[in-house]
Amino acid sequence: MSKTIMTVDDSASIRQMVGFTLKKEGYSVVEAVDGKDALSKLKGPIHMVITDLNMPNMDGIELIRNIRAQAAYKFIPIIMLTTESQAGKKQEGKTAGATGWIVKPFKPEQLIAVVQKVLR
Amino acid sequence: MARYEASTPAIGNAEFFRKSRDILIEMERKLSGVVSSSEKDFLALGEGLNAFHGQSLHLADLAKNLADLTSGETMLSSLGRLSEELERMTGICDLRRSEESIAELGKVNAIIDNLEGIIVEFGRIVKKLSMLGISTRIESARLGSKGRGFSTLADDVEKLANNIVNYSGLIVQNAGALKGYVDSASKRTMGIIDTQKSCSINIFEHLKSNIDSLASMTERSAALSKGVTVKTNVISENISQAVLSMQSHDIVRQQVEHVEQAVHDMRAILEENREGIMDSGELSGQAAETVGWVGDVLQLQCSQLEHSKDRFVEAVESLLGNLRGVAESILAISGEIRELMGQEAGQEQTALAGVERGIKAVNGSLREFSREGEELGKLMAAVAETIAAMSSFVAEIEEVGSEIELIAINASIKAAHTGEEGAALGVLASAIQGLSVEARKQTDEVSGILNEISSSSEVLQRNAAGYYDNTQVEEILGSLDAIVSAVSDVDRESQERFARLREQSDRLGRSIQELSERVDFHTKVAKKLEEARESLDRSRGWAKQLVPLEKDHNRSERLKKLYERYTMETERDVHAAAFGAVPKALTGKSNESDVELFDDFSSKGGDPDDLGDNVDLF
Repeated sequence: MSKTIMTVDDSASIRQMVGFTLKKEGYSVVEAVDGKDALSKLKGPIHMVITDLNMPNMDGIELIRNIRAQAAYKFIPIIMLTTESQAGKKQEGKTAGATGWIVKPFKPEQLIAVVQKVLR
Repeated sequence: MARYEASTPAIGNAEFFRKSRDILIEMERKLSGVVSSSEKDFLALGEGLNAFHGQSLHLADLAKNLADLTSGETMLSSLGRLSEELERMTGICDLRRSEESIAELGKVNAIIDNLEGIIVEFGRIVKKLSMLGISTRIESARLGSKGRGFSTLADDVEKLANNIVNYSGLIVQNAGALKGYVDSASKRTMGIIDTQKSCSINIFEHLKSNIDSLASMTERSAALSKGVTVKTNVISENISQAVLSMQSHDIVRQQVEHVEQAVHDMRAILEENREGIMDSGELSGQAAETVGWVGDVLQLQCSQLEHSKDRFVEAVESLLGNLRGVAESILAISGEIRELMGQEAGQEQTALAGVERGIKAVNGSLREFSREGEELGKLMAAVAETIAAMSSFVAEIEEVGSEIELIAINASIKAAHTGEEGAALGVLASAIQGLSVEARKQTDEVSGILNEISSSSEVLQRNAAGYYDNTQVEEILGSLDAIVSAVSDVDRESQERFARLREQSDRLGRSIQELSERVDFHTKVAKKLEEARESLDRSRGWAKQLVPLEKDHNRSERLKKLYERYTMETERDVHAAAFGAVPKALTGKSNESDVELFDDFSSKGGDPDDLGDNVDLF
């Protein structure tokens, strides 16, 4: 059975690119437009989350904290995909429970390499 | 960035305030949604890109299937079997056997001519025997009762002479028939040589070259498939680059949203300091600080807008470039197939049709050849029978020779019994004996000649048997039919697949070209961003007039604070470039890795750098 990855981004074009990239490699994709939307869709088998940092309603850091608070998703990989590259923000993400950090723009093969690495 | 520095007309504080506030209000309205409104265009492009990628992978699959078909087991085995059958046919059409037969037939002809000369010699012996018979009869009459036994002797001699006449006549008659057979065999063998030559021409001129064409088609198809795979990799690389460009939309959108926010903030701060600015003569204190700050923020926003515009245009142009690259690669595939199929179409016939025609022609030649061989075989059998009959006649003549010898001995004995009076008969007996020796010599010669003919006959019969080995011919023909049928199936299938691949490549290539030609939204977005930048730059020029750099003492501290407000790497680089610092992105040195994996992932799989500079696993 293919693994399911949730992609959270307020940019439809980023969600589209991440979705295409993951689906081509056989992953199932659940899309969410912000942290709040993501939490409402966090049900059943979600094996990984790829989230933006800055989003309306609930940002990426808050989302990570909320995900880690749920026993079922306490240990799933969470990658932040963002335009931010500051050490402070990175540390904030790490403290909240992020598994890794990718700065946009990404190459499809790069995203796949990260996904394969954290999901194996 | 000081584009309006020299040309901006002098402005008063109040006018600056009013005009700048109006510009900021207008810009806030205009910038809102400039980039985000193009998101649906970007999404449509993304959809197209994804569909094109899927279709290009499908093309690669088609090309691979095609190569598997044309260079697959059936084709290779058919080509191998065709070459083997060609070898066998070449063996059958070998002229050496026919040329040997022609040489043997010439030899037999010469031998028969020689035989006729020797048979003439038998006539001389017969004459002598007849004379001796008459002489014996006369001598017997002269001796009266003593020579009575010699009369019987004379009868025997005459009878033997008749036998020789009969048998040599039969030999001559058979030699004539044999000559007739040899002539026919020569003609038929020459016919076979012609058939063999035409068969060889068919094999060499039609079959071999077309088999080579088929093999070459197989190679070209494999090369095409390889080429398509290479092009598909290029397409994948183009798509990967396009995905990279697609994300610029999000980055630019954020940059422009930040400009919007900055414009909003500037307006609010201007409003807050309205009185100080409007009422001052020469700006100083808080009012000067505010105007100086507004000037710097405007300069930075102009740079951000210019960068956004350039990045947006560059991203879309790059995307279009990649799409055009994909279209070119796909249309190149179609062109190569067209060329490949055109080469086939430009020929008088396809390689396979050539092979079929060649095989049909060879089939005809082989059947004709087999029929002529059968006829020749019958002729050779008749030759052998005639030679056997002639040999039996020679045996009869040999028998006559032996009888002559016995008669001669008998005559000598009788002459001795007769005494003096039989002396003449003794002479006759010696002459008869001499003739028997002569007859034996002649029969030996005839016998030798017939042996030679018999040897030639064996060679001819053996060669003829090879010609009319119908089993082998039918076996080859059956095998050729089966091969052509198998190759036909592959050929028909591959032609269909070539056509499908070309049609799909054409369609996909044209779709991508059409899509890339339709895209122009980036120029509209760029125009709006440029207009906004120009308006903001006007206001920046006024601010710098009112608070020139040399009077702007807190600028350095302000710039630092402004820099720290930005968390996007791109925006920080723009800030650094706008105010004279060298951006990290341009130095190629980044303090922060763009990719990071945290905790235990950072040690998984060795060097984390292999994920790229923009990835960190913690």
